Amino acid sequence: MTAALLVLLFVIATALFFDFTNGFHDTGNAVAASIATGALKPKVAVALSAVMNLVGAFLSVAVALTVTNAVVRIQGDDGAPMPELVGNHGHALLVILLAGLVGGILWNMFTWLLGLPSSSSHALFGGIIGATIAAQGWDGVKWFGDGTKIDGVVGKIVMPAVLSPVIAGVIALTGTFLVHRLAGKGDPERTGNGFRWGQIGAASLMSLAHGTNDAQKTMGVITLALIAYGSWDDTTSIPFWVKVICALAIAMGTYLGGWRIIRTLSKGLVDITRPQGMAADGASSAVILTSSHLGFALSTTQVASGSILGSGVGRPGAHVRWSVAGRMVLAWLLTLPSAGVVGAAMWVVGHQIPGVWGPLAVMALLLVGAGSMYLRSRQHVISHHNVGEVWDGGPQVRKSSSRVA
Amino acid sequence: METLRLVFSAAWEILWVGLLLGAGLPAVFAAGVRLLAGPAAPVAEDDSEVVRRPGLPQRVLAGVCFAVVLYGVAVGILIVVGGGMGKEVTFDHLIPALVPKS
Repeated sequence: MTAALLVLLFVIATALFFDFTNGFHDTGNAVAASIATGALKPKVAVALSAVMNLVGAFLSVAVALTVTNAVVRIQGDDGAPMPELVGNHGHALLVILLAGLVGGILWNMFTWLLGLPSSSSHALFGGIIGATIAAQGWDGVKWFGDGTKIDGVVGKIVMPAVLSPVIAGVIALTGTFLVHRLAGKGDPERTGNGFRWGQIGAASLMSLAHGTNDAQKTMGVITLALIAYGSWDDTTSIPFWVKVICALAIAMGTYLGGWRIIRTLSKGLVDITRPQGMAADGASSAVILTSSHLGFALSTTQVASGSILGSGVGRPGAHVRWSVAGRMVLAWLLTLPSAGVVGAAMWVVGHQIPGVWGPLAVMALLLVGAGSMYLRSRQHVISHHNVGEVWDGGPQVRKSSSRVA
Repeated sequence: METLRLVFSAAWEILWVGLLLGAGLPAVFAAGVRLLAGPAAPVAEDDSEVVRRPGLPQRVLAGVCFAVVLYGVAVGILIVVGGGMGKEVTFDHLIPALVPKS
């Protein structure tokens, strides 16, 4: 096996690993409210979401290869890599992708460890932006678009991050208020089942949309790596096996269930009633689909968290834990720069150490980082067994309360 | 600056369409659920609840509510499928259709 092929395999493996973290990091967006209200049992909820993600990923017929074009300058307009990056089997481009993916994975694992829902797409773009800055300087990044369409880091990431929770929050607040006014006085025993189906429908729709949107990004990254290496040359389609492995990776990640994040979304922010859960899920689905229809895709995570918060504000008598919300917003603000710093550092390691040893060192750092965070998570395990325990000051489930249950 | 203007006009549009669909459809659904559940059950003298079934008008109205919501869900699925195929959805006379992206 040649050194160049090994680097390509590293990129594919990290891209799939990222896709997997993308799955478990975002499970909660679709299913947290259903789990909180008991509309679905935790295991059933993640299984449903995983299946819908899998179907959604396979719906990606026309995958845009221009994944990175909105924020950095490493690809041409047709999605092909920049010519100056493809020498030596695309080594320069592969190292940027590898470093960026590792930045995204490590930030996703870190926020998962803390139980904080943050945007996986922003983590991926943050990592790639950081690696690109390290490789090409600040000019490698598109901060603003050219004014003809929404583009650049500010247009595609910073502004949506600020606006999406507010938009989703206002809509969920309105929806929850209306739903409670209309149905709040009804007998919960007889209305509960209706709201249950409403929630299941909305959660399925959100998972389907997630599968198409998010799995596509990884498919695009892997295909870009294949083109740079020289084993694929079509910029209008992607290899079928790439689609299959990406779909499986995101579905398996979803099925694993990011229980730490599900716990924060379902119990941490606010206690959720059935009508409220249906209103929050309805608001999230509508905002996600409307925004992607209008070509201004918003982060699923920020939309879902904003909806759940808004639904808490909209229900009379609900108690919103603003300290948890504050921590979450802080994580959103830090996502892009943090993943960027890690991505940049990884690029320096991967580039400075000569030959295949650089990428090998990056892989070693990834394994050490991800492995230690996984081990740390085992000290306070949160799983489908204890995800619904009473929120007692923090995400950790106190020993005593889990014994009672 | 041009980017910010584009962002705000898109966000504004999402807010209004989102309010209509994201708050409106759940409210219509809630109305349907409430209609099907029948009028609030009064407590009978012997403390047992009298279960009242919804009448035909209520059931028809509930059906209309659910039909409106189902239409919204169908459009949602079409947007996802269309997005996956690189197409967009148009709404001529309320009938959604997939067309190639302009």
